[in-house]
Amino acid sequence: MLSVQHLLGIKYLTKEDITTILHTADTFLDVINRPIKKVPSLRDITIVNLFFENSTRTRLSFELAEKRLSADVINFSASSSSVSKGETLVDTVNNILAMKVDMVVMRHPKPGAAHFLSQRVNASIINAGDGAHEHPTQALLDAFTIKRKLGDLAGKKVVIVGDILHSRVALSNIYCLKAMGAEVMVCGPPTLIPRHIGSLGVLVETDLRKALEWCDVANMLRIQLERQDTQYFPSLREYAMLFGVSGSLLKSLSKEITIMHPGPINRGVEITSDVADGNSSIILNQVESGVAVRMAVLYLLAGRTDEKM
Amino acid sequence: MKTPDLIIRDCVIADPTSSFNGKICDVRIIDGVIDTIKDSHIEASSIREISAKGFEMIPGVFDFQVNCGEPGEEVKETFETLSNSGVYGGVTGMLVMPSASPATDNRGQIEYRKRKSEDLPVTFMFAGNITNEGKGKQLTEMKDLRLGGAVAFSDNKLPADNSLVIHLAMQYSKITGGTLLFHPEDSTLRMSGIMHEGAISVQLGMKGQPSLAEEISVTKLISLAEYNSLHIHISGVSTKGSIELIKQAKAKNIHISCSVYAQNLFFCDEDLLHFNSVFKVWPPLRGKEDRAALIEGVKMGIIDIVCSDHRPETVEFKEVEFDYAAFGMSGTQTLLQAVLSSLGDLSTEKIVSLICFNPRKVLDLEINPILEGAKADFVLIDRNKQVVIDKNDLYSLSVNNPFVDRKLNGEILGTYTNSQWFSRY
Repeated sequence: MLSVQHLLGIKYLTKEDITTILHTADTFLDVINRPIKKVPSLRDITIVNLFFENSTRTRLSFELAEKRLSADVINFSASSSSVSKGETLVDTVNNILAMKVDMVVMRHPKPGAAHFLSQRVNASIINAGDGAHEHPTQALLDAFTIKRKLGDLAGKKVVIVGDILHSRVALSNIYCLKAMGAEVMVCGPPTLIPRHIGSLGVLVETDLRKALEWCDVANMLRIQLERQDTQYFPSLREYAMLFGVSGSLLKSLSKEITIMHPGPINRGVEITSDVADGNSSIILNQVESGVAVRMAVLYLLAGRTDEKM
Repeated sequence: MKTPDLIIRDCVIADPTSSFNGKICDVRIIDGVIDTIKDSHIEASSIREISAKGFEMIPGVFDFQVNCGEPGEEVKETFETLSNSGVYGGVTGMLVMPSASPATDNRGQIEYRKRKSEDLPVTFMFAGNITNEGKGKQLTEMKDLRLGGAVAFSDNKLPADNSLVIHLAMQYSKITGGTLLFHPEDSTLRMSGIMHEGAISVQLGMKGQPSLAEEISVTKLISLAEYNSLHIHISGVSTKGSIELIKQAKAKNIHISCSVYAQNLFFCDEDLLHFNSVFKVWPPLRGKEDRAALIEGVKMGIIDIVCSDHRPETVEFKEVEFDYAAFGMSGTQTLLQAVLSSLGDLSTEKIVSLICFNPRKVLDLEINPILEGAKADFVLIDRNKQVVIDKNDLYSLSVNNPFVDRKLNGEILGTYTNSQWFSRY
């Protein structure tokens, strides 16, 4: 059992919660690698995937996780603008819940939206990303993937590279990794690093080579040009020159490191193709872990424990 | 309803200008004027008497910055509900800021507002826009606005970006009179921030508004005031750095005054940890250090005025995702108690200066001392009692008073203004 009713962010979870989720995900990783990839655990549960912002992989991953747990699934997509002009978020959700829906997976462009909703409706809320606030299942699947590759998270050094300012992935990863005893560094152009990020207990580095020499794992964030209201760096070309990881850069390091990316990749910007497809990369493992971790989250929030799988 | 003659018994006069300051007195009011103050029993009969033992009598509060929904958004507030909020909170005068739509940018708009509010117990004063539609480009007919009754000029929350227009307004105001109020903010450096930039904004993933955005603007406004040798008022300062800048400017005898909003003395950015949109205000609630510096600035006399920046909103504008929620708190009715709570160790005389006399002085209005022969305009408060703010006791049409269900210092026995006595008891 988790200490929370909703998954709003990693910062609201205890270390025991995270451990429980990762442990449960181990079981579900086995399940989805069996010939019959399904269990009946949530056959009595109906889940809505409520996406107010574009998403492909997160939505697919949640939908697969729900289906593999035998839940009934409905999908709702809307641009935030159409909703902000008309029906309120609470009205939208209450209308859906009136059709006897039990859980809400929500992505929303604004920070705190999942938090806001959880205080006003009677259902379990899973935050699938709220603005630049949190993306807890991404952090959990990242932690799970690192654990699969490197064993224990405690003492591991992880650098998060890129747009820290606008990134919910960075924030959730920082909370999760710190909770599990890893050391965290952020690296990127100074214009994309929040001034007060040090208050979270992370190191800050603007020299990519130094950051890579320091770390065991580099998590390369996607540059989300569509989410920036100001030009925070001169060009993608210069960004790639300063903060892109290439095969030759990896080879020149004094040790081997692991490369992650939450996707979708801008090949040639954050990482070159040889890195994305090379042996250091665990990017597709992250995607596989995503389904198992989301199954674990849904299963635990539905109050299920110790069922035979 | 006019109240006939009245005697307030056994109150302590708290007015630094009164020779009875600090004394337990009986005060007799006849026809809305203080007839007699006596530090012994006033012999009288067949008129109304109020026992005010344990209460202090302070001059009526002047809320230096309020917003009203009328005209245009009467669903949020009317002059009548605003007036009731005032008198039951000890506020007897208010400066109403220009609204957005319709703007207060011509004489007719000022005269309309004056007419709509003139018979109400609170004395309403009005600020006209500095620029047409409050857009910061073309100066309004400031002289005509003055003739219509504007006592001040402001573009409300428009960031003080356009230095030339500000400069021209300062020069032109020398022939119009009327205090100029500016909102210190550099809109580009604000970086679309919806809360204070700091450790908490990082935790919440919300866009932060750096203190720098305010301080760079305060610096500019001070330079412009010095260059033009003109008194200006800087509204709602919120950062530690702003206090330091204003302190230095005052030491150089640059003629500026400034105000702070009561919420910035009471709350801080940590109150946003649960994304409660009641705490979404402009300027934002800053860090704890800033709040401490503001309180210190008030005590040192660097800050001249504490006011509410009353900004009434309905549930539809506040009960939404934080980003979509409107900025602002409602608070004129709780201004006095918020001040008594956040500045608990300040003498009543100093508090009287901050919320009663200084706001009137900055606007060149007559002050309202407790003297024989003066118009009766006062509040009876007991600073030693605490009250829990009940939303059913609030007269505003708005839902965004942050003090609801909180315990504040100061029980208000009643308010006397414009020949009327208002009391919930």
